[in-house]
Amino acid sequence: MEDKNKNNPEQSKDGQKGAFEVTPLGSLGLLALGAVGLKAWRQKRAEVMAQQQANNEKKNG
Amino acid sequence: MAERLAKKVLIIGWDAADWNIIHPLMDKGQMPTLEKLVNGGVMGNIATLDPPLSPMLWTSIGTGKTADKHGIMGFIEPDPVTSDMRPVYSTSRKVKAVWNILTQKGYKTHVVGWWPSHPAEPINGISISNFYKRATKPFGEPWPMAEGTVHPKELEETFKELRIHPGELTEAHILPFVPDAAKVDPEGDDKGLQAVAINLADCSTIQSAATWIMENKDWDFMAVYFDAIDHFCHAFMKFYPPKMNGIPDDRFELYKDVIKGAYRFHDMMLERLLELAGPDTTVILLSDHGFYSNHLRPKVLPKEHPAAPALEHSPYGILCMNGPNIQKDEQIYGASVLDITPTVLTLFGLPVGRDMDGKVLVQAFDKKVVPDYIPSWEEVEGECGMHPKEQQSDPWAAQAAMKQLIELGYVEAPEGDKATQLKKVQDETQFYLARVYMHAHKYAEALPVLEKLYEENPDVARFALKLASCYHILYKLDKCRVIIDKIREGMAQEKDSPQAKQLPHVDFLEGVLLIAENKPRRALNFLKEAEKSVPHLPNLHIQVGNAYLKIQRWADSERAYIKALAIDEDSAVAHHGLALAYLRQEKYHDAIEECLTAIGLAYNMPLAHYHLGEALLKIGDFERSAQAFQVCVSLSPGNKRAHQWLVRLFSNELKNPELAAHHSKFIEERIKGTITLVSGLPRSGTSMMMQMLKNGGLDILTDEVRKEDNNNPKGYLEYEKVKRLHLDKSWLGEADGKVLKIVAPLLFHLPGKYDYRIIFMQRDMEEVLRSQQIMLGKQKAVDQNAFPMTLSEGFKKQLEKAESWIQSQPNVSVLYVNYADVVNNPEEQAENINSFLGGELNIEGMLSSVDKQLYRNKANPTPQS
Repeated sequence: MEDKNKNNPEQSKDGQKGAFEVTPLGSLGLLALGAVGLKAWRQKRAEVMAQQQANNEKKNG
Repeated sequence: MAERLAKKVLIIGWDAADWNIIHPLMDKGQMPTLEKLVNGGVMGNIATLDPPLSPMLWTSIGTGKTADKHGIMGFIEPDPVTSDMRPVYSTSRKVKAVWNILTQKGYKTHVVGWWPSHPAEPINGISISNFYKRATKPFGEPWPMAEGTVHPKELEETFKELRIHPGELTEAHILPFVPDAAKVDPEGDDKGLQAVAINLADCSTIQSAATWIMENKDWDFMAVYFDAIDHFCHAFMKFYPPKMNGIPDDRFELYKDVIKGAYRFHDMMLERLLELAGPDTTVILLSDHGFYSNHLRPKVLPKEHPAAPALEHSPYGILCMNGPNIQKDEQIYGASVLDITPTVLTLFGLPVGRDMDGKVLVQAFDKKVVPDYIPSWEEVEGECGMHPKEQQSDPWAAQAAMKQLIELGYVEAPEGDKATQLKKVQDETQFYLARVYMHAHKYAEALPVLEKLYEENPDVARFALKLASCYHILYKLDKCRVIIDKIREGMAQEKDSPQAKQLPHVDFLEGVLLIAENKPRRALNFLKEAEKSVPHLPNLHIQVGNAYLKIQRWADSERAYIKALAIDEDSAVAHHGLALAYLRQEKYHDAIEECLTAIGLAYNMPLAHYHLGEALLKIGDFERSAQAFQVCVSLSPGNKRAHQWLVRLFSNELKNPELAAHHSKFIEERIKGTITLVSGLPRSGTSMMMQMLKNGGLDILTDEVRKEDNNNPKGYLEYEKVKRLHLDKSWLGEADGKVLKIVAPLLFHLPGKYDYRIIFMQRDMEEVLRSQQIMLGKQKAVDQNAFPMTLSEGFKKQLEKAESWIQSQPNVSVLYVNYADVVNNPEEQAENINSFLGGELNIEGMLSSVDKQLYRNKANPTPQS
């Protein structure tokens, strides 16, 4: 059976949630994790940017 | 069909990875994943090939074949149509890679980033070419992917998204490599941070693609290649501690941890790959060569050398294997990059092609494995995932066809620079081909390539030196000397030319040539001269050690090999030389240790095993001694002396008459005997030479029927049966391994079934005739100097005939020795003779046979005072 946790960067290392913290700046740990780490990082970055944009729009208007 | 030994195989390539950097990091716990892999499997050095250029090496790793067979030669090649230079293509590979063979056998096979692999081959799985990772546009702009980068094509978009641009990286990625990155002016000349970002993005892109495949696709075989360690090393090794002279303090402080960071990051990536592979996968982690990280780091790379960065590569890379059926926590020896494909095929229970140049690493397995073989995988029909025949091409053959079209006027010739560049690359490619041949000991094939290169480029010292070296190895010593003299002439004319910088290399080669010519003392003069300019020249001190060994200056040879090891502690040849120096000084335990080290570094050294056997025998460890001799004969079945030791050991000490008989029979049936002959005209000094050899410790075949007399007060040491050699040769086996005296006219009657080492005595003809006349009691003729002209002419003709016969016999080696030289300079001549005969004679004993008083019939006697 497929180990679903292996595709989740926050649970992949030794099955411990939070082993790799996903921040908008990324980390070597996420890069080393490969495809899932990259996707998680980009997603987080996009979320933060979207949040920032929303905040700016709110501020300006 | 052989047993399948692996369920899945994962090959991870780390270009240029080197244990010298890894070990300290593992010791500090900074590469925990690799440490775990090593402890749970086997590890060892892996020998590279020459030239150590990555596209050639990784193709050899992927095919098990040398570059002359696989066809990838260097970094670039001409586009078959436009003649523009391009990186080497997978379409230029002439043979099947392991992933093609596995595709053919129906295995699910993925290959990521292998060099070269563009365009991606249509294998039974995913192929991502080596064009995949490199960012070709600034960050933020559209970043297209070259056509043919991904197979199957429908996955192009998926993999396009998995690429990481260096510009996408942040301080969180860079600071672990360069903590003080803020000190670098982004607009300045220091491009160090960019290099870190590019290499990091490149290897992360490969990791991203590889992990996606492992997460989403089934697989039996997976090969992933990372070039970042090599690239990090080329950019930052000069900053690796200890600090090199000439490196500014601030830059050293800034970049000193980059290399360590690169290795640690690869360890992190390895952890993820192993996690995805699972415990039932056989993992092979390897590099194609090492990278000098100590005092051997070149200070400057020569600009005139097109592949100069390769001078930073060291000859041993890393190898680690782990998985089911693989030994645990063991070291393996003697691996070569050529061994990977044969080993992978064996892991899948498939036969190895006999046309492959590598071997199966059977010692890595935890059980006895006997590989299967077929003549060649190239002949096996079936879809193998190579490019269609019409897409495959030899770029240089295409150029030859293009040239013909140009000459015929159908196509316009490439203009100026393009044509010059094409010729330059073509020459360099031919140079690589010659080096490949030489590394594979195919010297006869290398020679015409080098001769042509030299003819067309007489001023390129690299080509001339390699040609001279090839002549030397082929024992065409006269031709070697001609080239050396020409190089020296050229240097004398242009003292500031790049050629002139090669002078120490010429001195070195001349030293090597003189050793081959049995002139070790003169050789030492040249080698010492070379040492003044290039004390770190690889092999220089080894050759000095060899020269000292030849003149039996054991302690000096010991010092020379120790110097060689201070330069390159991984030189198997130097460890073996040192072992021999110790052995001859009766330092048996040191000799054993050095032999074992040499064997550890390069297992395929039959003589190192032989000398190990000899040293173990001396300390009375007969069992291990026999084992060492057995390995020696398994690597070199024709080593008669090793068989002889085995006969003795099994007969006497180990009481195993069956094995003794086996080796005895092997000698009798399979090994051509060797007879040492002393020849020349009667009265040319043959009896003196026999005495020298006898007192030097050799066995003489003599019946002593002819007794000593006034003409020869020390005896003739002859054998009566020789006189009837033309009628009866049946007795010649008695002379096997011994020394026999035979006059020159009888040489033609020697049968071809033995090898002969002839010491041919030469003496002034007038002296010979004078001595013969005295011996015949014709004192009157001597007093009147009246020797028959026909006699002199007749002897000269006989000598010419003998010389011509010697030259034409493949089983004959000869050393010409001048009688007067022996009498006047006995030490040097004894050394030459000793060297010719294998270097184990007692020179003091030989010298005791030379009596100047017996040189009585000189052609021009010195007036008595």
